[in-house]
Amino acid sequence: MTHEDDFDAFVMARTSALARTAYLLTGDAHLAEDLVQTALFRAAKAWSRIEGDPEPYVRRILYTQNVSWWRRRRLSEVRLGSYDAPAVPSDPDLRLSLESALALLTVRQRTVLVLRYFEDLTEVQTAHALGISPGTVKSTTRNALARLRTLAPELGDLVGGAS
Amino acid sequence: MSIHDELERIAARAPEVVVPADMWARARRARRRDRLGVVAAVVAVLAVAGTLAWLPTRDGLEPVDGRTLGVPNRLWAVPERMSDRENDDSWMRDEVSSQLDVGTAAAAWTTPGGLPVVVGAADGAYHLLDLPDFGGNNFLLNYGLGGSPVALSPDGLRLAYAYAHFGPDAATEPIPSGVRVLDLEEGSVTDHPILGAEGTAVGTLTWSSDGRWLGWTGERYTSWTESSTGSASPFAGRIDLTTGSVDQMRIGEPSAMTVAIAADGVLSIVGNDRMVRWDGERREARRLRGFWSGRGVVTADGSIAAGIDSELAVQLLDRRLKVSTIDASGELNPVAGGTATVLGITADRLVVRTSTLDSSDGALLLLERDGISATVAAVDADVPDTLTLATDLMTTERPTVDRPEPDWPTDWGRVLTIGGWILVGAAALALLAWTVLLRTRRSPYSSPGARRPVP
Repeated sequence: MTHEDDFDAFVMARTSALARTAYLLTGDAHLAEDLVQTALFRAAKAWSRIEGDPEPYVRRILYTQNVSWWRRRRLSEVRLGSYDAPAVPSDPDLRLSLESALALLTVRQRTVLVLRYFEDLTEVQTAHALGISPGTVKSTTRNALARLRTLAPELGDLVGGAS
Repeated sequence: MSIHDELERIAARAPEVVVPADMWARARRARRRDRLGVVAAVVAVLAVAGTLAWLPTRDGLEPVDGRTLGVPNRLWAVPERMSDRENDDSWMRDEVSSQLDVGTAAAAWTTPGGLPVVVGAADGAYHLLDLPDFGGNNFLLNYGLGGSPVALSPDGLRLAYAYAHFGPDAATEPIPSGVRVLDLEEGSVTDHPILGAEGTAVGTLTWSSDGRWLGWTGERYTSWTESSTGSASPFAGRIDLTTGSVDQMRIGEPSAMTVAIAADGVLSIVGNDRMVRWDGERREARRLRGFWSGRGVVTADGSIAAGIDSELAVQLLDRRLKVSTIDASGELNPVAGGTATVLGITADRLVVRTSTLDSSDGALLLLERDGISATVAAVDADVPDTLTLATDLMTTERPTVDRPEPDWPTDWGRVLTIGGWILVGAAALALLAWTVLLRTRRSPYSSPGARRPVP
């Protein structure tokens, strides 16, 4: 099996999962698509140097690239006001509120919440994935949840359970 | 419901990402481009590093005629910081050496700070010398009494200099003083004391063309200490270097004059509306109009050649006291107010240094009697008029040789000072920019949600 075959297999198996994370990180379908393609492209360039499971490598690109894009965008573009229009969820009011609140967090806060509560990583794993200290992960998580409570008091139970 | 569940529901609406079929191929091409870029960057860095490494090497190249003695085709000024002194007037810089056997020299002078400089004839190296008892070591002599001279012999083997020894008895006893001759090959020094009164501070030194005689003028003091002098009388004299004898005579007020000594030992002093010739016994004085100053040389036919102040011309005084002028032409670029100084003779041509009044370079010329001149070297404007040359090392076929530029040590104090001011300036600019930015942010018009006041 060649490197190209390995890459194709990884793309087939993991692109959907990566897209879900990217969507949570960016809050925008087009940005999420760009983010996943960029991460896969960069992973393909370095594929021969990746040892073992490539997913942590690709995910780290995903997280750091999003932060990098945000830094470049933040002075030139208007912040997204909300996530894409919702489909038909089980609890529309609650979902809309959480989406809106997530969009008001900083990119680092949003990323930490996604890793901690969507990817279910520990503080140490999150810190390793983002290249920051566990203490920073802890404080960022605390601040992010506090901000969510302030922005969307109706999420009190949801957020309270997380903290 | 947990936040995880809610995030799962939001993520369920993630777009379906289409990965282009050629992504792998494009990634490999990009990787090859990156590698090429890295190789190109490494090559560029190596090229820059190699160039930087090569530049000093190029400056330090041995001349093609490395074993040939010669006068450099450019004379560089010595940075004035090299003449810095300690509180006791000793030289501060480590580059100033008391090792005097530097070999045959091509040029020598003293800096305005009184530091003797000798340029090697074989390699063009600049030697800063701590000459024992050199008159210029004394602050009063250097700054208050017009400086002390050094004079390089025409063959570049010896350096004559004025000396004055201020020992423990300097306040009460005469100052041992006169002329010393340093053998540049051996590093040995020969004293030629000038006796009389409290001592004589030699102010002018000139060699005969054959290197046998030294002519000098100076001031004899009725009292002289390390930091003060009494009344002075002008004296002149000659030193026979084959016998070591020193002859001296009282002369008129040396307001401005030209001193030259011929190969037969006849000392000529021109100035003060007269000319004096002295062979050690017989003194001949003749009335002479005209203004003479600066160094002079005696030509093969016995004429005295000296530059004219404020003119790029040389005047000649023949044995019959007839004065003629050589206006330099040829490659000389006349500059109003420029000065010509005759430094010696090579073959039948005068070696003339030209100086300008601005800060542009001067030149060394080989000047013929008919005014035709050839520029053979450049001289930094900051090389003082105390410059003397080993003119025997100059020939018409090879008047000068290529030598490397001296590599003076970095003046870190100056670099730090300039760097400090740049940092202060940058900090001030940053502070100003930050203040402007803050004011802009605080402006009610800069906020998107702010309303403009109705006029």
